[in-house]
Amino acid sequence: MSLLLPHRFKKVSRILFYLFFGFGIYYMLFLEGDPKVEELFTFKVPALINDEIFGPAESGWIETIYLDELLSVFIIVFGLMSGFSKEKHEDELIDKLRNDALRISLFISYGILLLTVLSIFGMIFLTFLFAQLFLILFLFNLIFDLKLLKHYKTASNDE
Amino acid sequence: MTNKIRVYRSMNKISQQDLAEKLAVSRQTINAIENDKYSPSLELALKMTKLFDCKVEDLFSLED
Repeated sequence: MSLLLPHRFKKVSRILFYLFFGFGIYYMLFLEGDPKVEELFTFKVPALINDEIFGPAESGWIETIYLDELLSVFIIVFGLMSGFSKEKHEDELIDKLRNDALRISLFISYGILLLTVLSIFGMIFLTFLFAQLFLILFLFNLIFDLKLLKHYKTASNDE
Repeated sequence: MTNKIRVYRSMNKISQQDLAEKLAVSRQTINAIENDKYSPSLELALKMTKLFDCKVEDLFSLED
């Protein structure tokens, strides 16, 4: 069982992943709190659990700024599609490159999480924690793409 | 692990691309195996020995 999507998803999901990831960072740094953006993306949505600070947890319809939720969904979906779509010539070496990229990104991501836990305090810790939800997916895709680039650039040794 | 795929390929007058197509892998994978950058799976190694009509130990050997 390969658990990989067809190759046709690869190109478009790769472009959309890096696009939405870049926009996500831009949003976190410059657009969060902008009243115009917040107004544009404020919707009434169903909530399974809505835990207010000074009140009990409830479920039902709530009004919220939905841009970060939308960005999260796009980054996760396109990130997974990009990393787990077949290459044009998918073979065991490509599979090894994918596994290596996943392993390296896991180590780096948890290394950074350890540093965050030990050195970041206060409310900004939650921002770092939220950003790191997507770090492993970003590192995996970046490392895998770099490995693929190196693989395809292999010098022609045909005899 | 080292291999003699390049030698067997020359003996059989077959290019990396042709070998790759026969084994359903990419040319880059054949190149990586020939340059000892990647050790193939048992399945791929057995396919190679079948194609070149030789034993596994003729094609692959462990480094000292």
